[in-house]
Formats: sequence, structure tokens, C-alpha cells
Amino acid sequence: MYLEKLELRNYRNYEHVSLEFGSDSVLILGDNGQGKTNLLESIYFLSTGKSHRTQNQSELINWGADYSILRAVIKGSHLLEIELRRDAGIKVRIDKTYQKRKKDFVFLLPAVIFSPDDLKVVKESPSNRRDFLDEVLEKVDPAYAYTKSRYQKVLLQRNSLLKSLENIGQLKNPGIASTFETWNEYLVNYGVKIIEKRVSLIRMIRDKFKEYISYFFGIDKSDIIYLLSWGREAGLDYQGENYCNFPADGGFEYGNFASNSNSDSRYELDKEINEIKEIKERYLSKLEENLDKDLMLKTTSIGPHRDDFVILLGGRDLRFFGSQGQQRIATLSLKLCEVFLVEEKTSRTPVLLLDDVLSELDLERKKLLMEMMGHRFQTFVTTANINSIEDLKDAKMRFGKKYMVKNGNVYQWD
Amino acid sequence: MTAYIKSVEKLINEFRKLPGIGPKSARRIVFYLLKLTREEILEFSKALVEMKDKVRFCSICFNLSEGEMCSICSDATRDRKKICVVQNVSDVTVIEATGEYKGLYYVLGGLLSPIEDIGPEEIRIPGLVKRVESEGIEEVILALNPTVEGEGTAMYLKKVLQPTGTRITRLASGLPVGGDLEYVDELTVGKALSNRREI
Repeated sequence: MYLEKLELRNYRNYEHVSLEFGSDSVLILGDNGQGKTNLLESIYFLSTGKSHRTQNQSELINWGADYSILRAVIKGSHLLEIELRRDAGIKVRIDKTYQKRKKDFVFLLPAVIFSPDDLKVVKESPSNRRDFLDEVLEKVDPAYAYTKSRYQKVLLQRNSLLKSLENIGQLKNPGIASTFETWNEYLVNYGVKIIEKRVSLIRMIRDKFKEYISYFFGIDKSDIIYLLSWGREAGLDYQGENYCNFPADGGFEYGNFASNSNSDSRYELDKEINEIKEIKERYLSKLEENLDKDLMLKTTSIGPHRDDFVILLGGRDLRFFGSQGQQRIATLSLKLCEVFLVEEKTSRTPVLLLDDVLSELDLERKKLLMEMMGHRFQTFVTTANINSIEDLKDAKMRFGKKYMVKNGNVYQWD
Repeated sequence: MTAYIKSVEKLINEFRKLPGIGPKSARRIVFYLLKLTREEILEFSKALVEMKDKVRFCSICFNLSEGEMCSICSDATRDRKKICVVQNVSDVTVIEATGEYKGLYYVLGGLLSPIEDIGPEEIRIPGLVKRVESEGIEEVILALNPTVEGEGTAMYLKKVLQPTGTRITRLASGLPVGGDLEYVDELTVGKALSNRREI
């Protein structure tokens, strides 16, 4: 499956553009500010109904126009059209028929976008890593968004209860304090589900991640570990009891189980369920332990909204000890894991969108990346620097089409 | 808009306060009322006042009632060992319409919500517990909305009712009757699947 035709009307800085592609990769060349990223963004929008850059839909509509139309012909599949209006939401048509629900078109054209901004997943605060996990889960698990929004609502109730408990003496209804235990339990119910889903996501991509890191660096010793909120505070002790660890058999271990792991044992469902129970109990007791702190801070300090994951390279935390280059490759590897998951879960080959990613890699890594993706996926690559492509002359991949973007116009070029 | 006489405008504003009534509907209603005779209007306003004066809340279940006790609580044929807990009076009507339920009710009048400062007292939970204990209730059916507040309230009720030894159940959630599996969203099917039961 690949994108055969893309047509945009009044989208960002494009008044009208119509492009045709083959199944090969596509190169988009152009100076800064000419509209390269806008092209990739439009494909991503056709895939997900969202922009990776903005929440504000009216930004996507060309200045002076009232509406915008995005049209994609997907080879061997459908004609997908999205209509954006300034004063209304989006309208979606598949094969000329209007669709009621957004869900109906998401993943007609699965796409994964790689942008220089992704580096923050590896480099910056834990919320970026949580967002990464959540976004991937929302793509592959239809129930995840619901669970997450439920969790957040319960969290809001608990936090507001914490605020009113603070001055219990003047409380209008002291009885409200008696509901505290219930909110805790309820919070844990949803919280555990989120932890469970994130942990199983990490379990699914873990081997792939290691494989990619070793492909790019030849380093075998890498790992990715989910970190529970109460473990983060315990410091960076990876042998500690507060990490979820994953033995080779695929079952995940928790706490002290790690020390007596038996990698020969087969993955057992019962064992997993027991460990989830274990987390639940632990979570509840941690909530109680942290009550004084929570009352003081008037917010909940424990739970998946404070979890994180660590990437280890040669046993050291990449976030703090990795070089810029290593962090870039780890970011790429994470995104490649997303590609792998989307492919596996949706049974479709996604289109890859590489926004200015090549120029940041050295020649060797660039070649490896393009050889890995270029022949398996329809990959759209943007760059401002023609040299970064010249380097790829002897790589085992080729671009089917090459375009030059200049001031909202697109020219074929070779 | 402002071209109306004061008394007409005032009435339009009164109707706009009602749930589900916007400015257009309010105008339509008022223009309809303008055509009625004085007798008909009196009848209408009398009905309003009478409703307010006569309707009370049942002292046992807090359902609407004309006397001390509502028609359900005073009906000797009902199963007095079952209580169905609902959020609002309107929920009683919904469950009654099914004809499937022959027990009694308890109307909470709200749901637990720390954000709105609503605790157990505000929604008459102590009264429910007392009733379950003193009347030897065998089953309490929780018919609350599956919202965060509804489920939180259900969990709390389970906690405070458990010591009474009564059986606590809740409404099943899942596939709509007559629904086609193909047209139900994944979430609902998932819920129905995890709540499946033997046939």
C-alpha cells in the first residue's frame, strides 16, 4: 500500500498542488521556509486527522481562504478527502461518501512522522516520554484513550479532595473525607490499567529497540525499562526493587522478582496476572505512604501520570550520559519501533515521513537508515541540503521521484 | 428582539430558563399562549402551582410523591427486600417503564464529587445504609450512570453496604438490545466481552 496521489487546496502556503508518486521513496528538496514540512504535515493529517505541529486547525488553512481540501489516492484502496473550514470542524469523505466518525478514516493511510522535535522524547523531561507511549498506544489500542481520560478525571476528583481535606476543621461536610479511600481505590483501578498497557507496549518493542540500536551502533548492550513513579524517587538504582523489568521470556517482573529471574521459564499468563495484582497492592500502599506529602502539595504525587522510562546504553542512562548523536539514534530507534507496532497492529504498511532527519546524521548512519527504510516503505524525505543526498549515491536504495519546493510551488526535478 | 412588549418579553425569558428551551422555542411557546383564552391560561397556571404545592418527596425513597409515601413505597405487591439505587427521580421512571423491576427504590439526588464538594451526606447515603440495615434488605441494585462520579459513588456504596451483609449488584453494561455487533464501537464490545456470561 502506498500514497499514489496527493492534492492540496489552500493548505498552509499551498494554493494548489497535485503530486503523483510511485511505491519508491520520495525526496523533497527546498530551502528553509518554502513548505517542505507542510507537505509532510498534510500527509500526516490525512492519516490521523491531526497535525503533529499544531492543535489549531485554522492555522492549516491558507491565509485569505475559508476552507482547505486535502485529497489522497491510496493505491489499491480508497480515495480519501478531508475538508477543513475555518468556522467548523473537519469533514471526511471516503470514496466520495461522507463519514460520520473520525475513527472510520484513521489508519486508512497509516503514517509515522519523524521530526527533529522527537529528540525531546529522549532528552527532556519525563512528560515527553509519557506522551510518546500514550500517542503510540492511542494509535494501536482503541480503548486506551478512554482509560486515560477516565484516569485523569478520577485524578482531578482526588486532587480536589486533597485540597478540601487540608482544612478539615472548617470543612462544610466532614463526611466527604470518608470517600477518600474509595477515590484511591478507583484511581488505582484505572492507573494500573495504564501501567499495564504501557508496560506491555515496552515489552513488545523491547527486542526491536535493541535490534535497532545494535544495527546502528553495533552496541549490543542496550535496554529500555519502564519506571514506576515511586521508583523514580528512589534514585537511579537499576537493580532496585522499584523497576519493572522484563526477562527474556517476555513476562515482566516486578520488584524483588528481578533477582531470581529464570530466563528458561516460559511466559505464563497466571504469573503476569499475579504481578499486576502485586503492582496494585504496591500502588495502594504507596498512595497511603505519600498521603502527608500529597496533602502538603495538594496534588497526587504517585501514579502513571508521574511514570517514566529509561533508555540504557552500555548500562548508562542515555538521557544524562549519551552523546547528541546517540540520543538522535535512540530517538530514531524508538520511532522505528512505532513503525513496527503500527504495522503489526494494523496489518498495514505505514508511510514514513522523515522531516529533515537525514541532515542530522553522519554518513554511515544515514546510509543504514535509508537502506533499512527506503526499500520496505514508501518514505518521504525532506532536506534543505542537497549534499546530504549526494552522500547516499552508493547506498542500496533509490528515490523514485524528486521534487523541489519553492515558495508554495512544487517542481519535479532530477 | 427588543420590539416586544415588556410582559411578553418577560415570559419569553421565563421559558428560556427551562431545560432544552432556546430563544426560538421560547418565542414559539409564548406566541402560542397568546392565542389561548383567559380560562385556559388560568387552568395552565393553576396546574403549575398545584404541582408545586402538592408534590412532595417520599420520606422513604425520595421519589416524587403526593403524600408522605410515594405510590411505589406504599404498594403492598412490591418486593420489599430489594432496593434499586438511582441518581435522579427521572431514573425511577426509566426503570419503571421496563416493567422488569418489582422492588423498591432509593433516589440519591446526586453523585459523589469532591470537585463540587458533594459528599455522602449530600446524597443521603447514611439514610440508605440505615434503611438496608433496619428493613433487612436482601439485594441492593446500583443503577448509576457509568460516569467517573457514578462509578465512584457505586464503589463507595459497595464499601459502606458490605458490612450489612446484603447482596450488592449493578446494572450490566454492554451491547444494546437489537444492536448489530458490526455497528457497535470497540469499547462497548470490549466491555460486553469482559462482562460476558454463560447461556
